[in-house]
Amino acid sequence: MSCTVDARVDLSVDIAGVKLKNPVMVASGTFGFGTEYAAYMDVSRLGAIVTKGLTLQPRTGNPPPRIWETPAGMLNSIGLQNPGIDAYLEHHLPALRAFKVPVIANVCGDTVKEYAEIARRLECHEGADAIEVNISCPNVERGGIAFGSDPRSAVAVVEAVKRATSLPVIVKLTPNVTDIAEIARACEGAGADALSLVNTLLGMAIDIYRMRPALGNVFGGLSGPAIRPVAVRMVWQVREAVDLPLIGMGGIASFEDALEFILAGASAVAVGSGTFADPACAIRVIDGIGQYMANNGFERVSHMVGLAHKCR
Amino acid sequence: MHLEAQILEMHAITNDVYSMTLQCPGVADSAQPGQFVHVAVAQPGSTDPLLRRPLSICDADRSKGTVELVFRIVGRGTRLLAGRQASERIDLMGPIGTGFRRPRPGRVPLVVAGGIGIAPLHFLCRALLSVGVSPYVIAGFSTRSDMILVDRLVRYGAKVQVITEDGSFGLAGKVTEYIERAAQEINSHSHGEVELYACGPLGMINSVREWCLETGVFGQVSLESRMACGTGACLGCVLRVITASGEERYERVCVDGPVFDVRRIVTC
Ligand SMILES: Cc1cc2nc3c(=O)[nH]c(=O)nc-3n(C[C@H](O)[C@H](O)[C@H](O)COP(=O)(O)OP(=O)(O)OC[C@H]3O[C@@H](n4cnc5c(N)ncnc54)[C@H](O)[C@@H]3O)c2cc1C
Ligand SMILES: Cc1cc2nc3c(=O)[nH]c(=O)nc-3n(C[C@H](O)[C@H](O)[C@H](O)COP(=O)(O)O)c2cc1C
Ligand code: FES
Repeated sequence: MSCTVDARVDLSVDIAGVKLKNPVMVASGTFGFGTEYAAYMDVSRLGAIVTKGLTLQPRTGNPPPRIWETPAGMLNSIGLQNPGIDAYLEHHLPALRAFKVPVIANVCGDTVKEYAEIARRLECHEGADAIEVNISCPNVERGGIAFGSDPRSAVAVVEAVKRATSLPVIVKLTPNVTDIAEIARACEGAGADALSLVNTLLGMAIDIYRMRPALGNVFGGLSGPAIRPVAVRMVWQVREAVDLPLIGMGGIASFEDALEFILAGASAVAVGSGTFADPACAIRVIDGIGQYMANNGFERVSHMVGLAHKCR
Repeated sequence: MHLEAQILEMHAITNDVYSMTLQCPGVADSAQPGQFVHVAVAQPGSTDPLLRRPLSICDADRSKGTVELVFRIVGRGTRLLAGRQASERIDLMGPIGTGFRRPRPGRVPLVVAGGIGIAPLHFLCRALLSVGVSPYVIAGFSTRSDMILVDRLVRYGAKVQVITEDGSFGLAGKVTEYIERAAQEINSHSHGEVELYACGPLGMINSVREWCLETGVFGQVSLESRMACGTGACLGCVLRVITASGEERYERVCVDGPVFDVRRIVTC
């Protein structure tokens, strides 16, 4: 298969000023720092790489077991294990840069200040082309409720990160809220340059033979094809609520899945757990989108974004 | 490496253990004992079950370009795999992981296998024998009809002592009750110092660990964990280990392991 299916098909997209050669990224936490998958696929073909969530200090993460398979999906409770922002800049960034693919740093903090400090260090060390702010993290100063489930906390984080950096700021929304459009509007008002959605859905499983929670952390995040209809619905709702570019994800395992998100309003997509099933998943999605565009007479990805809203 | 391999042969060894031989020269060429392959178990194009299953390389033949997997049906994934047939293709990643280190010159490998845990140790024994090192194997099974791969190891020239829990074959009891005796036998015959290699259920691994710590014998164990990526990216398969400086930290079974120095593991 080739990426140049048709000379007229242009897969490139622009997300908040970041130029991607195609609209397909790999989602945070499912692709490490890029090098892990280099033996299995051509990493340089990706539209962008989103790093594992980075925190100010190194984090050890949650006790195992951290993985539990569910119907067409999986639960994970990794718990933000990461080497910390400084080790990322020193040890992981050089190899990541060598792929010559835009790098989006996913960041997380316990406090608003921490988010801002990570953003500042990323900018001053040229550690990323854009920042993805994971607001699913618990807000330690407000009783551990996720920043992303309270519009005021979300606004505080986004404003602080925007002040700390001139890099494009993508805010990653959690689906574990009653009204995702409300949070999306709040983030837009606070100056977000783009939104990505969705993060994992909170879930749990019981190991009936050990008669205890399957995950060491009890709760975990559900991902994979099982969550796709929920994610597509949320992209649809957020598209109607804001004018920002959206990055859609949640259960993408084929180009058909990716097109659902694009037609629902996403300007780009990310493949997460789909890579676990097939390391070449993102590549198949890129090629498939190109083929679909050629077959259906679309010259630019932007011509398809949100089209399903108009064809209702 | 990520590839599709043709199934050359597929057969049941016992009522729930299967052997699958694959044509995959790339994997056979570079496979090291203790490494595994990450196998897609869903039908092609299906995402249910979503995750691959890690299976040890039980044998690899470079000249024929073949790799053999031996697995026990324990759930949905392994049942699906057992339903696959010769001439079909399966999708796999590998070889993956940090395998067993060879024993130091003059040392005698004492190989301790529990049940299906004999799969990676079979490959290890073949590799050792091919360089003129004779392993002493103690292999435990619950009963005679569960016994696997022993005949082959004997044929290659390994010394094998079988132990069954119900005494239906070989000695009766648990493998771990016989480690000390085997070590003494090795000492009296060859005067070589023992190095231990083990794979099996957690209880067995814990006993092996205690024995190694008590006697100071250097041991390597192959451990298991549920996996998603199999590449080191997701951090889903971690276990707690002790570093040389005495701190505890999480390491990934898929790439940092699956074989660990027994002194580094924390009681599982
Ligand atoms: C590095 C490595 C090498 C392995 N090599 C072999 C091998 O050569 N032959 C073999 O038969 N098995 C091997 N296993 C175990 C094998 O991967 C599991 O039995 C398999 O994934 C179970 O899948 P399932 O869908 O059939 O079972 P599931 O329905 O997922 O689970 C059923 C049972 O299996 C256990 N289980 C599930 N996944 C794992 C896992 N990854 N590790 C350990 N237990 C698990 C569960 O606790 C449960 O009791 C290996 C595991 C690892 C990590
Ligand atoms: C193992 C694992 C680790 C993840 N780690 C992060 C993370 O560090 N930060 C983050 O914002 N999202 C993280 N996610 C969420 C994914 O980026 C993605 O939003 C989610 O899995 C839905 O997409 P999918 O169904 O394609 O996997 C993680 C997901 C998985 C499965
Ligand atoms: S399975 Fe993903 S890091 Fe080991």
